[in-house]
Amino acid sequence: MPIRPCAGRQIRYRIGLGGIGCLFLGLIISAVPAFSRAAAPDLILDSLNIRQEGVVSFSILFLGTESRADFAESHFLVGQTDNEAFRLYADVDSIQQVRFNAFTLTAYLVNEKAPSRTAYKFQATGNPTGSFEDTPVRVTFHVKNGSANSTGTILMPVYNATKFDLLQVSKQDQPAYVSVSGATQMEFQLGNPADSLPVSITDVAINGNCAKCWNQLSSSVAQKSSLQIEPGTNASLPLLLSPNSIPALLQGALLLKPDAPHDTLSITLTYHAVPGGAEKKQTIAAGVRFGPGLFGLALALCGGIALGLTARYLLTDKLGNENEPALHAILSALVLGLIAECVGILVTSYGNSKLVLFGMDVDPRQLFPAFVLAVFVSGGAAVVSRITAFFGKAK
Amino acid sequence: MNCFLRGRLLQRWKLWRPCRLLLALGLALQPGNGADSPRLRRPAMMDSNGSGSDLFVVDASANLHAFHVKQNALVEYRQMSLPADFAASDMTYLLSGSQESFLIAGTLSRRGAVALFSLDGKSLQTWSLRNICSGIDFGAATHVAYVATSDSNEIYRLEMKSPKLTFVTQVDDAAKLGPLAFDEVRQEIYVADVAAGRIYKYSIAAKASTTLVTGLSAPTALSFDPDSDRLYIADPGRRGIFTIDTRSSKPVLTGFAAGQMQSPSGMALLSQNRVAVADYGADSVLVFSNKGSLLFRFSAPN
Repeated sequence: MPIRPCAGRQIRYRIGLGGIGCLFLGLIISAVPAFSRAAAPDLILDSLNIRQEGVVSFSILFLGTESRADFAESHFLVGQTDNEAFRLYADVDSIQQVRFNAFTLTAYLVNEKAPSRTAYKFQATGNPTGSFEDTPVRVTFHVKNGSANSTGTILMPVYNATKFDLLQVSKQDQPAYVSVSGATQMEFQLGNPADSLPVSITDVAINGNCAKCWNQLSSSVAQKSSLQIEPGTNASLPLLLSPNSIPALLQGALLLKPDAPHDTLSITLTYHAVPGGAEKKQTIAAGVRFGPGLFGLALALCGGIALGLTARYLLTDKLGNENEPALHAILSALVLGLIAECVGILVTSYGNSKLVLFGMDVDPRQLFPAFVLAVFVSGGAAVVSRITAFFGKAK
Repeated sequence: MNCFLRGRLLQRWKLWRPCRLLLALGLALQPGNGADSPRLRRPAMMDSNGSGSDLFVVDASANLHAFHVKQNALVEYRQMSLPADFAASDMTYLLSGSQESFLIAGTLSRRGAVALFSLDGKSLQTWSLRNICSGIDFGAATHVAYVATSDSNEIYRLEMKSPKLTFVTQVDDAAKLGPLAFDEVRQEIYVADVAAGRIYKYSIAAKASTTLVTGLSAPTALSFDPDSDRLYIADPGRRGIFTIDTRSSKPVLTGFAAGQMQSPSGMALLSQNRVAVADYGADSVLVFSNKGSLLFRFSAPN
């Protein structure tokens, strides 16, 4: 049956209307994110147990697509599915710590077998629980693309903002010696355990218990000159300590025991795991003992020798032995005093020996012990026996 | 001769005495190390006073900075430090009589706690909880605060005169509850799920919670504007601020501000319909109009 021209126009008109409708429908579908999302593969990151110390779970949010193929190795961590169909690129620069102990990062999923280089952009949020330290781990991921499932792994960092004290600090055997005659460079050994992330120290704040004892307490480590410690290695933290001479000497004058600190420094380190770890603080206590420096020690030695010789002269009417010229006696006292001081410093600093004066364990690097040592050496037996007798009576 | 020498010595001693005095004064007046007040770094959370003329910011080092909000600037007028063993999660301003104070939720010695601090840093009262307190908001008219916990996903009611918190509900679907906002007029609580990227609404009258909106990455701050019934949401994962109309039957997440911030962490509503945002990553505070245009940015000078 021939189609009537009028009916033909009607069909063409209906087809035309239908075409426009389909076009609109297509436009609407492509504009609504829910429909366009249906075309994107689903990405799932598995929860994982970190050394039986905690768990990290992930939530994934699809953000859209980007046409890109540039994923520089220096800025992206790469993982691949076992069937080599998909590659996952985690953007290292996008890692950020957020409140409530969570971290986020941007990841791109690329279909290696697709002709176009469309990257599916996802935002991953990591939620740690437990007490593990920031560490790199191999995370299993799944890609669901229609009916096909692919599985792969990616080595990426996970963080736990509630875990503090990531740095290992070597225990201080004895207080550090700080000369009051100038600035002293002190180095602190810090370690970063193996199987962790590199740690970057960005700020060092130092405070002394005796605030007036110090002119300057500083470190060259700062935001722009940070100190990075790689996993499984140690590094020295440089400190510059400049004491205020008179208050520092007064602070140490009455503490004769060589292992008792004259002041304790609180060194607060601000650091974070690299890349993208939460900023953490760790406070280290360091004991210091103030010393007079070479010039002060020499003065104390000379003063002690002068007093010892004077006392010897007053007690025996002689400066030295029988028929010994005065100059020889003075020079002998100087040399002997110097030797006694040097031996005292050497054996107490580098050996297990102690210098004991009147039953008191003393530090020969301090003014008063050096002075007394010089008095005894230059005064000789007469002075020593007189002082011993005096203390014996006093007891 | 002796007399002359003695005179010279005495003269020198007299000259030396004021010098010694000056030396002693110099020693006594030396500033202690670390005496400088800390500048604003890593702003983490914030709230404003009732009128929105003052802004209070807590940074990652647990220092509270108080600002007067000017037309185009923030002027810092006070700082205080929170106790070292108090880890703050969220804060809310409250005015009781004429005394300004803060309720800060967090953990104290690894236990959940809500602490009331005066503006000068004195701890006035502490409420303890077994769970980690994550979000808090205060109703000025009813004098009641609501507290969310992140490990048990519960909401508690805190009455200022009561020594204990009262259990309100548990949000079963939630993964990790974070910040909380309280609509005092409608008696509704909005609470964010940081892990799942959702916002829940809990009706106190109906005793029921519903999922208000999904599709967020890690919502870390909420502010409810009772004038417009809009809920402002800070999402550092998506690096932006979003709003939803809470009265809508099907609320839709709408972009409010994005692109200008690295890591929006805290938020507060200010006077003249302005919104302040703490940008944790950029060490700054941004102030927006209620249309989402950036009015000014505050960064503490180096």
